[in-house]
Amino acid sequence: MLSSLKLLQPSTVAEASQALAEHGENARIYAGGAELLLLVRHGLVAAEVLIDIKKIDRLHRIQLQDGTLRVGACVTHHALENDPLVREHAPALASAESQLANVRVRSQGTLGGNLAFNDPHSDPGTALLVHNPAVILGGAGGERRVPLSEFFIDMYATALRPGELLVEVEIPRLPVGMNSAYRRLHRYQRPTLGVAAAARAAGGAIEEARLAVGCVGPKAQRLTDLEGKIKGAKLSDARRIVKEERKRLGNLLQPVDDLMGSAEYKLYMTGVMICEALEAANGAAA
Amino acid sequence: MEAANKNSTDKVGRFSDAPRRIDLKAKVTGRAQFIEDLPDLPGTIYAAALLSPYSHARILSIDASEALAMPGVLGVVDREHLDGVNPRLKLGAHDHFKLPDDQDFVAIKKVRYDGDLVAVIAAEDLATAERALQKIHVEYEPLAPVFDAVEALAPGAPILHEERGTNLLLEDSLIWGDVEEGFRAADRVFEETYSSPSMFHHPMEPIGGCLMHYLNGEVNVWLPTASPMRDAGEFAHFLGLEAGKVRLRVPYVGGGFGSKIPTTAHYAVLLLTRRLQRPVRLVPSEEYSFRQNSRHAEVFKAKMGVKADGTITALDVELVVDTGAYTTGGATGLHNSVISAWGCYRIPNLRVRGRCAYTNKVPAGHTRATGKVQTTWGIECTIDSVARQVGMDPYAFRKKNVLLRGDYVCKGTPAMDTDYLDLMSEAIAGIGWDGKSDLAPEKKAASSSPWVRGRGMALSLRHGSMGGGRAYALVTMDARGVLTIQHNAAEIGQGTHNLFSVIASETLEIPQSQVRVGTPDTAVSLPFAGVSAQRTTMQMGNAVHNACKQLKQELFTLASQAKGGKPEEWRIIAGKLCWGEAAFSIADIVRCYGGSVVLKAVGYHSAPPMVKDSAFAGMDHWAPSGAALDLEVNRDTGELRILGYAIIADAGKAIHYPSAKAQTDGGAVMGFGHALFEETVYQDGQFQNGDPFQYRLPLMKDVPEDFYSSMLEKGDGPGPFGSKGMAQTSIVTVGPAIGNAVYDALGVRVRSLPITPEKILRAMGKI
Repeated sequence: MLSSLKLLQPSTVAEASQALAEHGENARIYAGGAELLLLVRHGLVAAEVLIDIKKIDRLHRIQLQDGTLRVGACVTHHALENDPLVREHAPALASAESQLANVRVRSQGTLGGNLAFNDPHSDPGTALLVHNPAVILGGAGGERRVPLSEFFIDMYATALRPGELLVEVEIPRLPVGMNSAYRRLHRYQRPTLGVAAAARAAGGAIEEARLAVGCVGPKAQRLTDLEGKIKGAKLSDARRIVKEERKRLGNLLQPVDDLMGSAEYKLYMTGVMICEALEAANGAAA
Repeated sequence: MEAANKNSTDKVGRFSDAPRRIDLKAKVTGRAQFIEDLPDLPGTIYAAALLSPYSHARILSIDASEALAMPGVLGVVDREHLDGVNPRLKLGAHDHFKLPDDQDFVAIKKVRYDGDLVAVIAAEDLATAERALQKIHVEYEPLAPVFDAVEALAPGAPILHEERGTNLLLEDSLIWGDVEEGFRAADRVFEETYSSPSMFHHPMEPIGGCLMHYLNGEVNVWLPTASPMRDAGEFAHFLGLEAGKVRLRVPYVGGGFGSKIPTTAHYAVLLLTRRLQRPVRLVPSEEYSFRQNSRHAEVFKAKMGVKADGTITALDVELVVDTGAYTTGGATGLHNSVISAWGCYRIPNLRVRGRCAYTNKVPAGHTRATGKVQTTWGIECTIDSVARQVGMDPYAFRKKNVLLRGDYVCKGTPAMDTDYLDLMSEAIAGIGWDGKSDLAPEKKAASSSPWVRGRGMALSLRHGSMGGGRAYALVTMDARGVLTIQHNAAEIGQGTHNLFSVIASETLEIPQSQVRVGTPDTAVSLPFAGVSAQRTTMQMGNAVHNACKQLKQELFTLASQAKGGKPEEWRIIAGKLCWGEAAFSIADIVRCYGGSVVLKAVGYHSAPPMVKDSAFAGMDHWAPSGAALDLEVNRDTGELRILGYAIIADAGKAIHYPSAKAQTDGGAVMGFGHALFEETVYQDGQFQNGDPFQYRLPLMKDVPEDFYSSMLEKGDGPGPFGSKGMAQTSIVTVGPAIGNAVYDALGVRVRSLPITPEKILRAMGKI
């Protein structure tokens, strides 16, 4: 059962960050509440003050500027799933958003909240990683820009410093001819495994590929070694290469046994789904 | 009291009109009252339960003093605060076993499962009660738990009940012929093992809600339960009261599937309301609900002997049934498994031996088709596997061995009273299949698509309504000509109240708009064993039917006295009492005897008497079903797509077709959950997925679009109008139909439920 909470509603990022600094550990940023309220209910997060950032206009925009797509922290999954700009600019993200949980969570939950909690069983972070994005973090000393791959530190841990909040995600345009795709494996509402690929092929050979895996392991991450190994390979050979690399992937991802499946199963499926995502990204590009 | 349905039932229908359920409008508009909708009584206080976080531990100390000192906290029940009652709960009698009373309603020395009740707090409001739970200081000494019944029976396993010295609770067997002889007569002998996990019923309304008020030496109880008469008796016994001093009323119940029985915390609430003399309410959470009841985990190990022509000569089955921490439904779980483990086939030599063991899991009570989901999974996969190994098509093998109408089954049971050949042919037609299986699926040519198609079949047999003693119904016809039915059969979602309304309307030939159905209330003193074991239509249906027949006779007698003629010359036609060309309303006749006169009749149904030395206690009929399933499996991912499912139950006669069909549909949907997803997981000393986020239920998308369910209706049942009990027939066939279809597609067999993509990949040797 929830105890009573104090709600603050700042209208600028600076005010929000000031409130965070003031209340310290007792305060939490609140946007959709999809992640936060669950943790509060289970007693995993003790918050007395909620800083509702939904009144900050800037956090609600989706904007294309000089080839970079900027998505405010309070944009909901539902909005992302349906936005034509997002679909065109970052197909993997749009796909991940459309598969996330259920329509109630998608209508309520926000991209910023999802990334800032860094729950390992999550979709958007994995899908975003193949787009080389950065996050803008706002704090007392102004704003700073951190690549998403450096923002995710460990399970539930990010590069956010005390008094900072996630303001915006910057997604650069994909190189010409490259496309992205996302594949999700799930038994429950949260994914068992998420795989994203962005690829560019010419004459049946992979010219460039980006791969990311989430849910298996403590955080979503890029598979840079494997990306290097499949570069130049024929699509039909990628399957074999991924299979050969399974052991190395296991060392990198460190899957664990849990309700969603055994470590062996997750690793096997990672291999299968990397190939599926690669094929989908190429298919979309062709 | 449910109002009659005014919209569609003014005429007297002959079943096929299938008017809307009388409780439909109240339920879809939200007017129907469930336990949480009942308003508080003046002065109501709230109870909250403290459950053990350990699966097995000794309690070294409990100190509730800090909780009791909190403002608003009114009392506690724990081992130090028992008001002098004996905490040991008395188990209900079982027809075949003398059961040990092994459970205290609140932990005394030990806790034996994650969820065992440690204390209950009463406070002025729920928030205070829940906060106070955190101020009860309990010191535990954790003990090693055991979560597997086979391990629990092995030497050196942690013992749950030290005074027993063993985790073996009960043994049971069913034997006919001589299996050794049968195996000698066989050309080939096969051994197969199948297991199924513990599961949770997961009713939409959590288990455990109640409102109780002790006043003037009597207790008023409002409780969502399947068995009000039994529960009131147990509560009275616990408090040392005469049975009639506990009055129990049942609001609408939000699903049960066997789980809606008294919980341990209900006994604590009884003590609190008696001690504090105020109404006490308990509002359960989902996490609490998950820790109140479960389905038995089971291992089914079969040895089957077959002649070269496919004739079964012998079957030897060993079962291990996991009842969890206490006896609870252990006897029924074991006995039902033993008497159903042989399926529905002619087996000249049979031996089934079962053992039931304690484990540190949530106790297993009764669950829709108790024991039978597990054995049908076992025997129907065994049949498919053995048929294939002798090179026979499983459909042909079943046709050769299945029991036919009129076949002798065993001592104390009716002869086979259904037509399996019809069930099978309608089931395969339902998915557009000729019934022929791929006998060499492993040789399927690799195609470019990873998806491979397969089809499978399963049959089931269960005893129909069994035991339960007598069921009584009271019908009252008032001077308006309105009939009221009183009874103690809860409306738990399945449509009982509507059923009684239809039976009364059909029997008395009056419109349903003139029929009212009361809600269960033990004050009317009408015994009924409870809405379980497929007995309601059969037993309470017959009681209502018989009461109405008596009332009809009385109406004819009164009419002849008042208006002339002989009773046998009178008829009821379209709601009117008719004699020759004269027609009177029922009210006209009743009023002849005074404006305040009412007519009453009590009807009953008795289950057949027990037959000495029969394992089948007083059963009325058999309850069979047949199913066929069409699927695709992905060879790379182990993923399943169910393309079609057909299930045919034998209803004898569907008294209210949409309700009977909904039972068939609903059972099958629940069966998809059991077959593909559901499992309670215990690891690292704890119950890992005891909440709705981590316990995977079937979703609408998991039910195939091509879903065909139907019923045989030959009017050959012993229930009213030829009906049979059939609510538990469709849940059992889904698992084996899927398992057999997976084999048909890939040539590999998954031998434990649920059938997950991971298990399919393992069976294929991919991981």
